[in-house]
Amino acid sequence: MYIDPHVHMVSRTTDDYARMAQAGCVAITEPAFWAGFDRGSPEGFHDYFRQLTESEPRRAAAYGIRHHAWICINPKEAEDHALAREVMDLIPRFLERPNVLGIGEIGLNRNSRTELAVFEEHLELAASHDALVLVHTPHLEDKLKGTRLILDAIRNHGRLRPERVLIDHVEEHTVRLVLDAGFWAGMTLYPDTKCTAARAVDIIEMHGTERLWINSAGDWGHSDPLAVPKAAVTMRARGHAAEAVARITLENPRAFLGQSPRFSDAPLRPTAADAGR
Amino acid sequence: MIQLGLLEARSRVLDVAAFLDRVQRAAAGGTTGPALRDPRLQAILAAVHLLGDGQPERARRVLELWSDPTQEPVPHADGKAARGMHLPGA
Repeated sequence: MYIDPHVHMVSRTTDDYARMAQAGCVAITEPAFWAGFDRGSPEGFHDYFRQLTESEPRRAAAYGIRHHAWICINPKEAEDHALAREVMDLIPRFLERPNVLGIGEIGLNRNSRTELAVFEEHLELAASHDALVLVHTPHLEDKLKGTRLILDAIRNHGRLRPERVLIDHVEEHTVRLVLDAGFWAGMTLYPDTKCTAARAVDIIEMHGTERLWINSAGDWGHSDPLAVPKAAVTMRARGHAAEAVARITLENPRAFLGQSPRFSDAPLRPTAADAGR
Repeated sequence: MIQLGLLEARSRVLDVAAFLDRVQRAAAGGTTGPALRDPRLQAILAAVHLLGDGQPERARRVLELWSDPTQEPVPHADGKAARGMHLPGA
């Protein structure tokens, strides 16, 4: 039994839901993100937010998986500040939807001034709605600088408690910054640009299991929606006890996400048909 | 632990070696000078050099070696995708 707390199922097939259920997935959370192309209007985001809050929960339920969502304009589409503000005006109404846990995945992509301004506006939105926050950190050479900018921005904002913020996509050079500041940290198991399972287990061995989770971030790119159960196999091969595996793959996500009363990983009887039929 | 990761590490080191060979072969008929002077490949070679220094936390140090060391936000996003390593002036 496991939770994948970051996976983009709008980009995955129904077969992936079936395989995840067979591997023991009981709940997922799906942050709003860049779907591989730039949406040109607020209406495009509106329809995407409907997909996250109406269609995907039904697709997941068909396989007994509880689906939750995070809403935002992601940093890859935040460079157009005027569009970002129009999209942000849509967010409050979606925060009221029954499967929405909070604001995410906000953050930085190329560490630009506009991205940072939009990030700070999201922080204010989260604080004013007492919402949980899921933060995307940049990739590759931009990650370390971006993580520092993000941590500074949250500290400077001052109204968000670190235990209600998850900083995602940490790697060896950023995990300590995040944990030492009191935030939760997510390790993303993703080919080429993020963590392998072996490196994620290295990080667990060096930094412990407190406030740490793993996720697949499965999406439209090269990625694996079964990355979490595969990493659990790697942990067991490295001699970790079943309790440690359960803490990383189930109990830690449950502890962070459970700060929202809308989160549940209680058994869900599969429904007869998915939303695509 | 060695047994658990040895063949995979061996394979990946060979992949790096073969990649460098491939780049060099591809550039052999070019006029731009030795291919391995490309700053991206220099960054790879610097990381390879670091692996043999006997110090711990190589993964963290390689990632830091490739990271943008500046602190201020950039005026505008230069495309959506990062390149892989920080290249001053690029």
